[in-house]
Formats: sequence, C-alpha cells, structure tokens
Amino acid sequence: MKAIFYIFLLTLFCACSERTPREHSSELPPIFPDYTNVTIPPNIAPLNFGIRGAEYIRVTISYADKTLMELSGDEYIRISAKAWRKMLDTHKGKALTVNVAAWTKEHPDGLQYNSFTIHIAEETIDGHVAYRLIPPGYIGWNKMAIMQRDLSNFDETPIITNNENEGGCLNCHNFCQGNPDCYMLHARNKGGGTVIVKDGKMEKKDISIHAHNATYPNWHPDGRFIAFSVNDVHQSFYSHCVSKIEVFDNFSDLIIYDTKTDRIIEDLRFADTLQMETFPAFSPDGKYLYFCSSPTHILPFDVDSMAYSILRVPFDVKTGRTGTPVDTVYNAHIQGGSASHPRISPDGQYLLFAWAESGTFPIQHPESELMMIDLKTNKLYKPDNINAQGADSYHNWSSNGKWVVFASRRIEGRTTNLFFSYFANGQFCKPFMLPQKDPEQNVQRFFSYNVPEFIKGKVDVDRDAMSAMLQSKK
Amino acid sequence: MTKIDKILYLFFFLAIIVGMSVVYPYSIAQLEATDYFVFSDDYLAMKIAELPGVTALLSDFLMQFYRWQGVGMLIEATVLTLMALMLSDIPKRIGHQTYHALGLFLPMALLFISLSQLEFHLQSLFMVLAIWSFFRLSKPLYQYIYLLLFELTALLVMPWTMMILASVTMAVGWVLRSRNLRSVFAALAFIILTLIWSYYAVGLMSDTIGFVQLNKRYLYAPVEDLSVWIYLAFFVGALLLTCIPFKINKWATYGIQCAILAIGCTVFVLIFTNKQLRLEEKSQRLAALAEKKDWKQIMKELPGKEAVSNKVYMCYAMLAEAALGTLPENVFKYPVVFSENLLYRDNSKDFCRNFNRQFYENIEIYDECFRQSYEYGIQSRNGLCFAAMRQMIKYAVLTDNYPVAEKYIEKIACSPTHVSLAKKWRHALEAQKKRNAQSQKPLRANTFVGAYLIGLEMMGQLEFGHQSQMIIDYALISFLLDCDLDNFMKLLIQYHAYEGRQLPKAYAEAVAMIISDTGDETIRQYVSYPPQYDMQFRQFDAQYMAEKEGKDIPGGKTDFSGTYWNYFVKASQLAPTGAGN
Repeated sequence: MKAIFYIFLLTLFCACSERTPREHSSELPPIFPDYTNVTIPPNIAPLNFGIRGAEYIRVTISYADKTLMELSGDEYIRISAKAWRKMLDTHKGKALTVNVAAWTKEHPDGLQYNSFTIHIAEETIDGHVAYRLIPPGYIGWNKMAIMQRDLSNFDETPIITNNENEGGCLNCHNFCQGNPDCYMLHARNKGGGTVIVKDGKMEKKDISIHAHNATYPNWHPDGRFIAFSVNDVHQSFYSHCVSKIEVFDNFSDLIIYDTKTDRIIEDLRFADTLQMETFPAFSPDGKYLYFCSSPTHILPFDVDSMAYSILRVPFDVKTGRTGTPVDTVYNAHIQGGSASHPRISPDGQYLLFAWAESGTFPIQHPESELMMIDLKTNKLYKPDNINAQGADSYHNWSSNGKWVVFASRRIEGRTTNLFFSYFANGQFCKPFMLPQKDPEQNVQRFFSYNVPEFIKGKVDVDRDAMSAMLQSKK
Repeated sequence: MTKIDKILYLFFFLAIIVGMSVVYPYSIAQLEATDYFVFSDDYLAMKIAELPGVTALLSDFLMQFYRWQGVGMLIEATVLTLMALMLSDIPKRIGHQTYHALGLFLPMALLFISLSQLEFHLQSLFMVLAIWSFFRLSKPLYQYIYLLLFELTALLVMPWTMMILASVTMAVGWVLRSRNLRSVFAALAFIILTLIWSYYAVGLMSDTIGFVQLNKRYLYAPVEDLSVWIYLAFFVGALLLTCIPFKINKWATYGIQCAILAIGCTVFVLIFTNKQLRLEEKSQRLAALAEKKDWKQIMKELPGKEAVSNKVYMCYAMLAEAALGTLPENVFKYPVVFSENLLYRDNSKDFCRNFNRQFYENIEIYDECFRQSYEYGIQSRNGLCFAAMRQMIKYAVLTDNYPVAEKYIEKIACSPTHVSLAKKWRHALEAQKKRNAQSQKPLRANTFVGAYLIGLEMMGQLEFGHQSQMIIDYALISFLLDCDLDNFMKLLIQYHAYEGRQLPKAYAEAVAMIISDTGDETIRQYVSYPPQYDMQFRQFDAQYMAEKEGKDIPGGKTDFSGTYWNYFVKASQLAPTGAGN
C-alpha cells in the first residue's frame, strides 16, 4: 500500500515538474497563426497560438530578461485576457521576446525554438471590425451574416443574419467614418432593399437605376451622401486553372445617393455603356471621389482584357455632384494589371488598392496583391511585408491610419481570413491573423470573412425591427 | 397491455425497420447524405441557435447513422414506438384504464404526414415524454419542481406550439387527477404563466442564442406543406383518442385493435406505393448506379419508353449512353430539344446539382464537380452536408488542391461516422502528393463552364487540350441539337474523331443532309458513313416537300421519327430565325 502511495506521489511530482526541452533549433517555431515578429496594437485580444501535432508546448514571454508570462498547453496555449491586457498596457512601444518549446512525435524530448519578438505599438486599433461571414463558394449560399468582432477580446456578435432576411443575401455593409450608428447594408430578398441606419433611424430604401440595384457603396465623410456603383454582377467558372471563378460586371455605373432628400444623382459621364465604373471611395476630406473604370468588353470571353484604372473626380459636398477634371490616378493600360477597392488613408496621403492581372474581383484572383500610391508624389509601389502567396484583397484603414485590415486567402487558397498590419512611414509591418480563442477556429470555420470594415464601437441593432422592416412590402 | 396490443406494437416497429429499409433504401441513404454533424464550435453554435436547438442537434447527430439504412430505420422506429408506448400509458397515470392500441395513432399519423422527418418526430417524442414524465410524479413538490424545469427547458427541445399543448395537457390531467377546485386554479395559473413566460422566452432566446425568424416563433407548423391547424388537429386528436373511456368489453377492444391495424396497414401501403416516393427512390437508385459507373444496369432499369417518361430518367439514360458510347447513335430517340437538356443547367435543386456533378465527372472536369458538390451542399438544411463534403474532398484531391483537401478532411474527421474514412483519405492524399508533384496549371484560360452553350463549352475544353471521345461527342451532339451545323462540321473535320470509322447514326444523318443541301461533295473525303443515309435523306426530303405542298406521297408515308432530319425540321419550325445557322 505504501509503495502505491509513493508511486502516486512520484507520478504527481513528475506531472507537476517543469519539462525542459533537450533539443534546440535555430529556426522560428512553426506556430499557427504565425505571430512571429509581428507588430500588434496595445488593445488587441490575446494572441493564442499553437503548433499542429504538438503533444505539449511551453511558452515564455519576457521583456529585458524579465519573464512576464509562462504558459503551456497541449496543442495550443490559451492566454489569460486579464494578464495579457496588463502586459500590453505596461509595454506599449516595446518588443516582447517569446520563447517556444514543443514536444512532438518527432521530438519527444522537446525542441526549443529560436525566440521571436512581438512588438507592441503605441497606437491603438479601432475597437471593432465588421465583416460578412459567407460560405467560401460560388453562387449559392445558405447561411450568412454580417458580424462584428470586438478586437480587444473574442466576442463576436451578429449585426444581422440572413435569418432576419428569410434566407436572402446580405452584402456590402459600409460605415460612415467607422461610426457604429451610421451605416448601410443591402438585403436582397422579396422585401429587401438598402438598409440605412442614421441619426437613430433605420430605413429601407430602394436605390436602383435602370432596374439595377445599387451595389458597392462608400459613405461621404459628412454622412449625407453615399456613392454607389450599380453593377450587374455575374460569375463564370474555370476548369483546369488555378483561378476557379471569374466575377465580372456586364454593366456598371456610378451614382450618388442623397440620404437627406432620398434622391439619386447621376453624372452622365459615369453612366454610359462604353466604360464600366465601380468601387467608389471618397477621400477623407470629402473633396474627391475615387473610383475604378475600365472600357467595356465582351464577357466572360474577353475577361483578360478587363483592366480597371483608378480615376479621381472633384466632389461638391453642397450639391452632391461630381465636377471636373477627371484625373487618372492609376492607369491600368500603362502601368498594367487592374485595380480594385481604392481606399485612401485618413491623412489623405496614401491610396491602398487591390491589384490583379485583370478583372474586377481580386479575391478570386490568386495573383492579387495590395498596392500603394503615395498621392503626394504619385509614386506607385508594392508595399513590403503585407503581400503573400494567395489573393490579398479587400482592405480598410483604421480611423488613426496606423492599421489596416485586409481579407486574404493566403492560408489555403479558398477561404478568406482577416489580417491586420501596422502602417508607418509608407510601409507595413508583417501582418497578423485575427486572434481567436482557439487558434484553429480561423481555419476550421467553414465561412469566409468578407468585406472587413473597422468600426469605432459596437453596433447596437434591434434585429426584430430590422427583420420586420425587411419583410414588409413598404 | 394485451398480447394483441404487443403484437401490434411489434408489427409497427418491425414494419418501419424492414419495410422502409427494403422499399426505400436509397432514399434513406439520401437522408444521411444531406445531413451534417461535426463536433466543431461553429456548427454546434449554429444548431443550438435554432429553435428548438437541442432537438435539431440531436436529430443531426442521429441522422448520420442513416448511412446504414437498417440502423437509421431502427432509430426512426424506436422514436415512434417509444412515443406510442408513452402516449398509451398517460391515461393510466391519470387514473383511467385505456385501449393501448390507440397510442399508435399519433406515430402512424406522423409517419404518414412527415415520413423520415426525424427532427419533427423527436420534437413530438419530447412533448409526449414531457407529459408522460409529469404524470409519473405523484408528490406535489416534485410536480412543482418538474413544471419549473419544464418551463425553463421546453423550448430547447420542442417548438412553442408543442410546449403550450404539453402544458395544457399536463394542466388538464392534473385537474382530472386531483379533482378539486384548487387544482383548477393552479392549472389555469400554470397555463397563463406558461403563455406569458414562453412568449418572452422565445424573444429572449432570439436575442441571446440565435435570431428566430418572426414567423417561426409561436404558432407555426414545423412540418413543411402542412397548415398549423392540421398539425394541431393531429396532436389534439391523438391525445383525445387515448382518453376514450375504457369499457370491459373484449369486442370493443378487438374493434379498436382491428381499426388501428387497418389504419396502420393503410398507412404503410400508401407509403410503400406512393408514386412520388417511388420516383424519388428510383432516381436515387439511378444516381447510385451512376456513381458506381454501372451504365449497363442503368440502361437495363430504363427499358423502352420508361427512359423518356421523365427528365430524370432521360438524363440518366443519356448519361449512360454517353459513357457507353452509344449516344451518337440514339440521341434523337430522346425528346431533347436543346443542348442544355443534356443536364440541368439552371436548376439549383440538390438532385440536379448531383446529376450535373456526375455529368462533369464523366468528362473529368473536376473543378466543376467540386463546384456542383458545393452547391449541392448549400441546398441542404445546414448549408453543408456529408455527401458534399465527401465529394469535395475527392475532387480537391483529384485537382491537386491539397490545402483544401486537408482542411476538409480535418473538418469531416470531427464527425463520429467519418473517423476511419478520414484516415483513409489522409493516406490517399499523402500518396497522391508523392505521386504527383504540383501540376502546372495556367492561372486562367478560356475553359469556362456554364458560360456558353454546351457545344462551345466542350469546344473550349478541346482547344485547351482536354480531349476525350465523350467530350467530342458531347460537342458534336450539342451542335446538332442547337442546329449549329457549321460548328458541327468544323469540329468533325478538325478533330478527326471518326477517322477510319463509320459515323454513328446521328452524325451520318446530319452529314448526309449537309452534303445534300450544300452540294459540297468534298466533305466525303473527311468522313465515311453507309450510303443508305443519302438515299433515306432524299426520301425524307421528298416526303417533307410533298407534305408542305399538300401533295400525295407516292408509296405511302415513311416514319422518320428518331432521325436527325425530323429533329432539324421541327427545331427549325420552333426557332425559324436561328435554326440552321
């Protein structure tokens, strides 16, 4: 009996004692998500990570040889939110050192990897990000939702799901300057329309011209006007190719919607059939409207010839009309490729856009990348660090212009995930993936993250009222 | 329970297992194919967010075992028989004797109105279980605690209407059992409280767990195509039936038992002979045979006119003929009027998606198979299903899309019934990786599927270098069906598909017609066909002209149905501006 007691005690002792890895590697640990040498905001949720196939991992986070946190787990580590918050608050502007050791089948005695750093920026990121969760697919969908995620923790809540819309499509949410009380989205169903939430009122509008609905939106910074492109969107499907889908417009024009007078303003220059205009974006001062434009082609046959340039036109905030001249900011025919989703940094100096070899839907183009134009010097360049193999597409600047969020298919090529990157002096830092409680959730999830938009706070919506509105015929 | 009652219950139990497994094996397997269950946070949260979420989750969990038809029907039979047993026991708990056979009425009705809708059957089972459990309790304290628990949990396992129905039944039973004024007030208070609480509880659940559609919160029928009143009538009727006053008269007992047996037999006969169900079963069987590529068996199962009796049969017959290489001989025997009739181009129903997938699998266009599998999954109630997942893994491997294959294998490995399959797939994937270094594919090429008519789509495949006899035949047949004779001739000559061989019937007829119409005898150097087609075409032409001019046909009328000429003339009449161009 005594022997059993001692064996029990010994086992307990062994279980509680700290494991020490016997092998060392000069390589960085193969952690997922890859948080090695990234820069993060001081208000981000804990960066839980893991090593696939590991039986045990041990992590030490330290600063200037002082251990701040010791963690362990079987396949991944779960960081305490409270301790993490405290650690980030007290180390703003500093680089933390992270040491990782893992015990795997290949290394049963443990392998100590080379350490890496996590740099904590001084500048915070906007509190929330809104995105659409949609099956990573083709035409059909079953469940979809526009969600919001609190970036300081793991809370994810719906703004609206397509349950409220009787299964209909929801898309193109857009916020005015990241204001959670001023936004719009489209609900496509029998009773659908464009939902506009502003000044505490929620309204459903039918914004369409020539029997086509308003599609890609962008709020004017003063909140009165919304620029839309009106697109007749189609899909075709490749076989035997790296690309699987080609999304194209058979028709696209620009309109301005006045939320005050419920009026659509057209500019005939951007409403003809010779050119296709899409993806409008206002400059942060509201004085210019940027958009993409391409000559019309026979589609999908000539889809390789679809090259969208970025144009800019002055905008009169009093009348909602576009003026002259029309400037070419990016000339696809000279500079090559095709541009989508122009977004101007809050200081007005930089224009970030998605570049692809052709077409208008870069997320379906594996070669697509994020490109930058310095609007002061008109210099076009491919920013360092941010691009990777796999489509990088829709992006959005944080309100302080220090962070961007973008959608990327770099993980497995089919599902879109969210990444964040720190921006300083015209360059980006290595992006990091949206932190999750269980790090595998980002890839195990069957949904794509679509159209990420920063918001400064949580959207509070009466979903019953929204649903009733969407189902009413008015 | 008398011996006859026991026999009746056993009959009901076995009839479901044996009868359904024998008569509808493919339809049962289809229930698993369109089901989905995995231990993953997202999926579990999504299911619990449904109202009633626990039942939805349990239903999906059990449905995965329908892959083995016998096991599936054992589950179905157990649920329904348990319900019958509890239902027949309820009056006894209130202090009345009862006719046990009457307990079978509700399960039989459910079987009839909602065949194999396990989720609905489970909801009904939970409702009956709630009532039965309440009457099992004798002490008032336990009853109060039970009612409190019932209020708190009922909406997780049954819809609002069933909760109210159960509450009213419990209240009425309570009064009947107690037979005093106090219990009447208590019962009334309980019903009113339930109504108030449940009204707010649904809203609360919708706000916190998952949004519940406004029209699916309170008074609605959880079964499709059934009005809420009929649905309620079934339940109220079944509950009232069990309360028929018992008389010690063996003839009354026999009479009721005979009536239930007669109803049961009628229900089963109606189910087993239901035309729509039989058609669906045969369609699923054809789909299963096509999956196994047992084309000869498909042709055997679709003899003569049966193959053209509906579009499903016709599509499978043509698919089998294409695989067997006989479609160019026989295509005009089928009532097709357009190349798009070879498959279901614009139909998003799951069955059509599955057929399209099989169509493209035969011509090895696996990217499109992947897409059709995805769209098939989207049609299922969870937006994803086992069949779609299994197929997507298969095509991801075949198209060397290893990261996607790996991800989907890991996902489906979280389903208890797919653990060993996932292991096999992992091995297959590793083997494929070793065998095949990443293939060099173009970023984009003009290989669109679904963007053009089938003929041009197949032409795109041929120009890309993806060649096979089936693709050539589909292209040629499509051009003939669309009366696009220019492209037909161009393709026939360009690809030397029948060089050194006699043309099949449909092509020979088309070529004979073209030579006769254009007088271009040079065509003959590229193709060969029996000379009788030239002669027959001249005869057809003469007959056609005579008919057109209202003249008598010397030697009587010849039947040219099933020939391309006949099709061409009819198609030209249908589309006078486009045909023949």
